[in-house]
Amino acid sequence: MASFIHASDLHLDSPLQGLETYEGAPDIEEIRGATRQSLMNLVDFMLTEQVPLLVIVGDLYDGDWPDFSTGLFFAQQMQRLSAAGIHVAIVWGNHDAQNKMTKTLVMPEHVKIFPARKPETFVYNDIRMAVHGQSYATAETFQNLALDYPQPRAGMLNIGLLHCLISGSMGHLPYAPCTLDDLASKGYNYWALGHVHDYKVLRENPSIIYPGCCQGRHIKETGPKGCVLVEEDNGVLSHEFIRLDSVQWMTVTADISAAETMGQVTDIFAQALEAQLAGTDGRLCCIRAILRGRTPVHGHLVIHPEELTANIRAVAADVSRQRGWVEKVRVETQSIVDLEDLAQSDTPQGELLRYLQELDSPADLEVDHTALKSKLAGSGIDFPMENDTDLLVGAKDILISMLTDTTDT
Amino acid sequence: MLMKINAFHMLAFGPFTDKGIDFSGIENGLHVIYGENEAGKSSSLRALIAWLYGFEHRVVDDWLHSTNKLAVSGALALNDGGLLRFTRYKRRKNDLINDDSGQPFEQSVLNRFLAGKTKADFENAYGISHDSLRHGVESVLISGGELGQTLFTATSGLNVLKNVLTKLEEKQAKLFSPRAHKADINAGITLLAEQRKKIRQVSTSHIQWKKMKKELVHLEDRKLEIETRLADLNRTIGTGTRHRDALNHVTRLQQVEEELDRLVSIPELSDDFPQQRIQAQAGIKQSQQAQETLLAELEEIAKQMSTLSFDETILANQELIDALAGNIAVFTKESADSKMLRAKIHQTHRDVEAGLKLVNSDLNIATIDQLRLSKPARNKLQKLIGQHTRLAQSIESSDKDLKTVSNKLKTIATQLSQTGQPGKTAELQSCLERASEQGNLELRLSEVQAEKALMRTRIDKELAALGLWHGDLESFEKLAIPPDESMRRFADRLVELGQRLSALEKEIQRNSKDIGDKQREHDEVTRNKDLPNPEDLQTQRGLRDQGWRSVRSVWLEGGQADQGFLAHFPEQAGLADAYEKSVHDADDTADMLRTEAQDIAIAQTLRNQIVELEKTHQTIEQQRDSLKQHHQDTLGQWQELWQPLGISALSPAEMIEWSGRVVQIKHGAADYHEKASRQQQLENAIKLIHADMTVAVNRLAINVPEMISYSGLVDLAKRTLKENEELARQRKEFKLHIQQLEDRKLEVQQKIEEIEEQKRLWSEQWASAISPIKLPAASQPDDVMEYIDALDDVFNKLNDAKAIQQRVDAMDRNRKAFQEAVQDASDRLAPQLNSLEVEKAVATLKGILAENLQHRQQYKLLEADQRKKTDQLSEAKEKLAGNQEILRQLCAEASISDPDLLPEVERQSRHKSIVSKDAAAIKDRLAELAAGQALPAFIENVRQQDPDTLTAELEKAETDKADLTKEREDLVAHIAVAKSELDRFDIQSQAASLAVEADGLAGKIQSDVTYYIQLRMASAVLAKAIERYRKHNESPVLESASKYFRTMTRESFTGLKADFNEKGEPVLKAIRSMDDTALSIDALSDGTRDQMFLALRLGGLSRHIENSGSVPFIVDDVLVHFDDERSSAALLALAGLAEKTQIIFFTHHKHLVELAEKAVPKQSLCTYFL
Repeated sequence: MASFIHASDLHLDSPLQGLETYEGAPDIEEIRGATRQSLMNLVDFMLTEQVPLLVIVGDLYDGDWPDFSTGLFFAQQMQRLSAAGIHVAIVWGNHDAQNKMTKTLVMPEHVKIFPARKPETFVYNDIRMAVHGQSYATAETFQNLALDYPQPRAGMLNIGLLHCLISGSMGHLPYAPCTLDDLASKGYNYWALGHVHDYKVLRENPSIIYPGCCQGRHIKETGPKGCVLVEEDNGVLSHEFIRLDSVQWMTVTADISAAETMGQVTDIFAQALEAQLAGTDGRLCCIRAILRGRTPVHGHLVIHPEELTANIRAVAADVSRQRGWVEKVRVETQSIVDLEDLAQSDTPQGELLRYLQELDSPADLEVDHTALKSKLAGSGIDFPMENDTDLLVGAKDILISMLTDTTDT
Repeated sequence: MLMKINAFHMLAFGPFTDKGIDFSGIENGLHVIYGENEAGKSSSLRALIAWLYGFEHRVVDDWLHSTNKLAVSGALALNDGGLLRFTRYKRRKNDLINDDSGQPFEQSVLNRFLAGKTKADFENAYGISHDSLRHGVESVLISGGELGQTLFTATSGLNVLKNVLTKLEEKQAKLFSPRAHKADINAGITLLAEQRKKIRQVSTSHIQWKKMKKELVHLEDRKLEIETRLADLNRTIGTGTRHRDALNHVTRLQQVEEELDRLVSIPELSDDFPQQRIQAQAGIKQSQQAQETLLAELEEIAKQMSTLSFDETILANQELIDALAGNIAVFTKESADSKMLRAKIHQTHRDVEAGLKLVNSDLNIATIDQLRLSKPARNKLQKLIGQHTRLAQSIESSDKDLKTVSNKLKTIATQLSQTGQPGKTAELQSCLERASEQGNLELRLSEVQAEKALMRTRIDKELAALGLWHGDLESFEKLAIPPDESMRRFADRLVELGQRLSALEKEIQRNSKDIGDKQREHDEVTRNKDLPNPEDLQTQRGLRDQGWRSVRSVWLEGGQADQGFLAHFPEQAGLADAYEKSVHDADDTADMLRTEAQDIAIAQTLRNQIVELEKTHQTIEQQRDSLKQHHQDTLGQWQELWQPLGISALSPAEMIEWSGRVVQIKHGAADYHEKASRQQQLENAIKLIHADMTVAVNRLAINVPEMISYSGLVDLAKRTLKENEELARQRKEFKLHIQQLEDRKLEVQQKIEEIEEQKRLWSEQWASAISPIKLPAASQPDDVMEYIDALDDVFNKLNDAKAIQQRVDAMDRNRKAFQEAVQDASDRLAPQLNSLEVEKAVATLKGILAENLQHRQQYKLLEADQRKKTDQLSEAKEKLAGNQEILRQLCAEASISDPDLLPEVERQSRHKSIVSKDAAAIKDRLAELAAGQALPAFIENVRQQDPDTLTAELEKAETDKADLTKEREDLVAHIAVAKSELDRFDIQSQAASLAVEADGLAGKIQSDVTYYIQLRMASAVLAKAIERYRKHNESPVLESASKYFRTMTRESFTGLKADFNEKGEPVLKAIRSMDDTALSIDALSDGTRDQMFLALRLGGLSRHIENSGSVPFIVDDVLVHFDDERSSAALLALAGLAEKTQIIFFTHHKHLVELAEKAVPKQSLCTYFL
């Protein structure tokens, strides 16, 4: 029975984003080493299961990542595979093509990298597999590379490696765009794709699969992450997703309509979190907390975001037994106070509400943000779009809450 | 009125149980609720809010009633005339129950009646307390009386406004400030920049890595080489040093071995040999002395023992003697007791006999037992006695009831007979209903009359002030005013003509100016020059030609000089001169036309333009004149229009305004006529009802005074009706009461019969119950009970006597047994005591025993001492023999027979031992230096070394070693540096770790930025809203608030006004009436500030009521800083506002209640006490 592992988008040493350190947060070392840990998990798995071939389909490093030690680490892990006689075939993706490390690193004996000039075939006679692939020469590779891939080798398991975007996919840059039919028509047994960070089986017969990234790095990469184990038995291919991540990202949404106190808010959130932690096998979790519902505490939450965040973090630490890192707390609750009638009245409150209703754009307020803008310039922190009505909604919320919630003021 | 609280009922809340307040007493007035401290004023306020908006999650008012029992109910009068009665309970669900339907309903339903006011709104906008008043004043003070904020704060009740603004600004400042370093965003950005720099620093390139790796390998190779060389040197130095060190030891070893050979015959004694010898010799001496002492002591002991003797029989009976001695006290006491108890038994029997005689002379102790009662028989007796008492009570109470009922019956029958018969009142009632339907007719009539008179006065005044026309109201009403359209047409036409005229006048002016301008320009061009024009040239040339013709005629034809020609040149002497002049003139003009051609052309053009303008001017003047005429005609027509009215008309605009006033007066006149007709109607109605009512009253046999007024008649009718109704009601009540009393009388009589029957049954049972004790059946229960108690007493005494007899018998038996035991003991142990009394015999026996015991004790002590001494003696003998044996063995060891020689042998042996130890130590040291080499071979090697050569070689090797060691140390340092540098390239990336932190920080700053912007916006929104509110509400609210302020300050201030401070910002000021000075808020006294703020609140509220209807306004003790006069004024002001909306005033100041009662008219005030 032949088998191989298909992995992509390791993004080694790329930082996990948006995790502010705070009192009671889990050990930061685990977070720092998460991408490296996923590679070590991959190598451990291959050595334990004695899988003879690893294909990596691009984006080993971040394009702008400057630190050479990342490359050394990668080489060290490849050395472990090489020492066990395991073959490794790699194509560089858009990120690798950009990174200078790629060209300098010397790889161990059994690790082969596809050239960027033209597609090639590596034939592994000992395991009867032929691997076809082409690396990116530059990040801006926007032509259909699949078209020129070589013919399949007879009597071998043919695997195509391509870092690309299948035409029509949304939310990603169109690198090496091609269609599923382009790929299927090549007559390979398996297409190992890279670039998209979610695990996706695009087609069976032949199998065309994105394994997703090995480790989620921000709140948009939630859920389990890993690689694909492909096995061939009497000409029949089967594939299985193997989890490699050591840190899992998740969104926990809690409906806190029933809460009347901060204590009840955290209780309800704790229940929601507990339910979601069930499937994480004790992994460290990066959590985005979202609170919804019409609740009497809405005002308090809006006026005191720092208190809310501290409470949510504390309860997350408690429920997860120090394994939960709260990335952000979003308040999407609504007030229970119905302001419609009040807005009709001639009271000053009515005047305020009517003014708020008339306000369309933050620009109408003519607030001068020059000082803040110049402070932020060049810091990498964005100044929000000034016509963003969400900002205005937030400001209204704060104001109404502060004026109605007299206990706080 | 959106709603009003009609009633409010605290079923269970705070200190209240079932406490209700009914607000329906007055329609529009001030409700004052007074409660002393702790009376529950605050609780009732909370209850009111809880009733409308639900209980707080945690309540403080559950100390008397448990939390789940709290309940408040009440009734809301709604604007549609309906009434909503509901109860609020403290529970999570269904806490609102409609009292009429019993069904739960939602808060949202209630909120509709509360005009959508939230609890906070209600508390803020419709409630004011002393605290909120003070906060409000503070807030206004902080803002410096800024007009917008003051109005907003005072009218919204949002006293926290300034706090909100401040809080918003504080939050902003905490997040960001352009120059702050510590603000979150500022500090975050600085830190982020540092972290990014650090990431760059710790990240390094692959080329550097390779270079440094190579350098490190080179350094490590060199280090290895030096270390090999150093190892060789160390070996050389080691061997040489050992040989050099061993040289002395080898020589010394040889000397020691020779000394040992000399001492070979001396025995080697053990180290403790001398000690053993001294010990043995001392032991022998000590044992000999001990033997002598012990023998003497044993002899003395034997002598003492022979003097002691004791009786074994006595000693064997020690226990018996001790027992007898112990019991002797008991024996003595029992003898005395026995005597005393016998006397007591005898006394008891005598007492019983005497007692029995008293009860019944037939009884004695022997026969009395037959009279003992069994327990059931006794119980039955007691039960019957109980029944007897109850029966007696029943009879007594029933008799009393019967008497009371009969008396009452008599009284009420008398009252009924004294109450008169009522008359028939249907007619009178119908009259009164009619009157009531009409309302208070007299009041209405007088109102109508007053209004009518007022209207007439006003109309007459207006007519007098109208102007242009004079006459009375009747002829005024007939006045036909030209229609509005005609007046407006004239007005429009005249205006239009006027406009056109003025336009023409303006054009004329403009034209004149243009002509003047052109003329000035022309004059400018022609100034100082007499510019010719082409016509001049033509004229001059014509004159020249005429002259030439005359010259030619004179010259060639001899003609006469042309006089016409000459007349043009009067100053010339003759024709020739004149001709010459004419030629010159023509030439000059021609020249000038050429040289001044441009100016001439300009002057010509200007002249032409002036001519044109003058023509136009003339035309416009003609037009103006015609328009003027037209205008004059129109004015004439206008006057004609008014001629029939005999009015000299003013301008159309004025006349339109005048006719407006006329119309207004006419409307007033119409209202006046309507009032007059209304008056007539009312008078008729009164007359009609008056007549009918008089007849109806008369029918009821009541005399109606002749000149009675309408209202007097109505009162009389009402009174008559009421009296008749009262009579009917009373008679009905009396009859009912009589019926009830008769029923009651019958009941009581029946009951008495039942009791009599029970009493008979009881007598039968009683007779049978007392027969066993031989008493007559007629015996009374009390007597029987007394008899039984006396018998019980006898039985008890007899029982006691029996028990004492048994005890005496037992004591006698004990004493006898003891006497026998003593006798027996004396017989056996001391027969000489037989004749003695028991007590004495026992005491003597005890003495004998004690003496024998003492002797035996002394004998036993001596015996033990003797045994001990004998043992010590044999021990001393054994020790002596042992030591003598040790000394003999020591002599044998030292190979001598005389123990006195032993010390000398010991000294020699010690010397030999020291020398042997030296030799062994030297060999040990040499073995160490040999470092594993066999010792003999090593000693041989050392002997062959030359000391001088060896020293030189060693010195050289040491120098080499020092040099190489130094070099190696340097290398180690270099390698450490190189390694640590390379460590930064270690695969454990520090940069990756830092990047995680930097990213986290960036996320935090990003959300801080968003929050900051929102806070900024919130501040801006609030500021703008305040400004808008001020613009819209400034004048109406201020106007109303001014009135309240004036009232509350007793006109010390005339009002409030919007003014500007020194910075030019709009602020609120109070106008002092004394000098009309506008004072800023901070210049006012504490109390006046309170009054100002309350005035603003009331001003805002009354504006709100005008616009949106009303909701009850709750006032909680706000008059704390008001003096009595101003308090009265404020209460009156509140009562005034209460006409428009319900006002509930809570206070715990009694004097405020008194002030309110004095200041506010009765019909506008309702006071409640908690």
